[in-house]
Amino acid sequence: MFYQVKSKVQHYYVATLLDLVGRGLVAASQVDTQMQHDLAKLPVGLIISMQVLATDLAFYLRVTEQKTLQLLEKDQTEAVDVLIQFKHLQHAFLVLSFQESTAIAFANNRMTVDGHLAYAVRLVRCLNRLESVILPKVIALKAVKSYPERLHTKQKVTLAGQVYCRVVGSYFKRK
Amino acid sequence: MSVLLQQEKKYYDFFCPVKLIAGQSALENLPFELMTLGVKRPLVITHQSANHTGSLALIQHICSQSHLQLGGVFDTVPADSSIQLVAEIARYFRHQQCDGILALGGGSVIDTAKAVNILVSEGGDDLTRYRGANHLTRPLKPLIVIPTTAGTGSEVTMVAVIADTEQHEKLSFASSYLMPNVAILDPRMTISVPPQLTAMTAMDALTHAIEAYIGLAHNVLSDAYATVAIEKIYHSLIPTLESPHDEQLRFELAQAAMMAGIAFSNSMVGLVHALGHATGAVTGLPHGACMSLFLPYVLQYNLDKERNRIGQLLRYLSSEDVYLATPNHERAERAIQQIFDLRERLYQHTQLPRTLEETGQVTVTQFDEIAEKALDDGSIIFNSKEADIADLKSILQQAWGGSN
Repeated sequence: MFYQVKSKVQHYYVATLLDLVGRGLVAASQVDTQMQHDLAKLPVGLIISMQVLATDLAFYLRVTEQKTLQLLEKDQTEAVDVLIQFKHLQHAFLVLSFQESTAIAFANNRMTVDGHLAYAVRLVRCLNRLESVILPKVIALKAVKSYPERLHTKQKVTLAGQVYCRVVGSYFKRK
Repeated sequence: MSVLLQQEKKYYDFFCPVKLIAGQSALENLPFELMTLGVKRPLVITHQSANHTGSLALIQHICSQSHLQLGGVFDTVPADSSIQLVAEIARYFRHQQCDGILALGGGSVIDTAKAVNILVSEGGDDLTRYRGANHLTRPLKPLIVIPTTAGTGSEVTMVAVIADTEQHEKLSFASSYLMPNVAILDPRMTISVPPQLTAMTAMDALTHAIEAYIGLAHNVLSDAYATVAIEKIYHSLIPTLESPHDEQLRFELAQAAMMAGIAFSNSMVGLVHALGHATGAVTGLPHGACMSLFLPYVLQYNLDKERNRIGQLLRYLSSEDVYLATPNHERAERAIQQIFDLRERLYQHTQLPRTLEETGQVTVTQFDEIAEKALDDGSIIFNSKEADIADLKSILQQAWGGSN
């Protein structure tokens, strides 16, 4: 009974966080120049996905012509070019609840990466940037290898505000 | 709690299923191992130098003594293989009705053999279908590897990297099924490696071991392999260059390279390899030379994150007495100085370049391109300390001028 409840809680938590991360990456790609610099080298139309193996938990992103990210529907059928896949729900929970940083999760082989590795590395940098921008510093420090020294409070608050507004707005946008 | 216990990881995985046969007359086990694997007509994949050094003739002689017929020999694998060549070798394998593969050579030969094994086991001639990780779902045909250099450790890794010359990119293939069934380390196989190649491949192995030790993915098992490898390389390399026909010394280096391969196959590499891959891609500089050039500077860069671990390297880069006599706060710098000193001695013996400028193949104007490429290299994820473009260029500048 305990494991069933725990599994359900983790499932809902991971589903929520994955959705927020996907929307957050899209929002940040529209407002953060550093992330835009990282996305600039990605080919237009590239499909990126982060998933949990053997579940329906996933987000899908496409690189637009403006070199921002576009969130795709979960039932999208285009072939995924870069796939980062957690091996188990528990592993995804560890990372998304900031008990394990992304880098440590890679080092611990919690996920597999398939596709063009250079693009996957850029996505991880974008993820680190997003976490540094939107999370309180004390939490971001657990999520990323190193907190960017040049991200001053005023810039962080401005960027985070823009990202949060766009994420909230994305839930009300017409499809 | 001791420093070592504090650093133990809470979780890891470790995998090395390769049967290792090493030492005096190790090669003479080859017919038995082939028979145990059910191989009656092995294809030998090798480099042309195997004819000059006599290593291919030795293999043929050993097999004939056991009445084992080779299915075929493909001896023109170049230093940088290609998927087109892999397809050609696969067709030859099928034409000769071979049933197993014997790879005799260095990293390029071994990677080629792994890639050929994909095609001859799965069918077809389009290797690109299998690029990436974990696309193979069943064991491949038997593969035995006989390394003829003491460097890459490919005989114990699950990765093969092959160039697609038409698309101008390098393709990676990763799967546990790519690992050889058997690796045979026989000191006769590396006895004729020229001095500079001996130095380069040994520095490649040393870097594998050190990066596996100080990287994010290190664990107690990979540490055990890495530290022994570091000690063996450090204490055997210069004596090998001074006595190149000493089989025991050659064997020490071969063992060390294999152990370093096991270490980094499980714990990955880091910033030295990210910079090395990028520099090699942009300038054509040999991989081992790149490792030697960047290793001490990356260790200096990583000091504020990995001071303790780098300090512990002193134990393996000198002696227990030196380690104990060195104050704790000086050990890391002393360990890095040991590497600088080693590079200096390698230069005296083999003219292995000590700076990027000394190579004559790199220009400062290439730094931007190298840094951008290094930033996209997968190895960078496993380096303890984050690095941005400015950090990478700073390391390149240090490696250019050679400041200690």
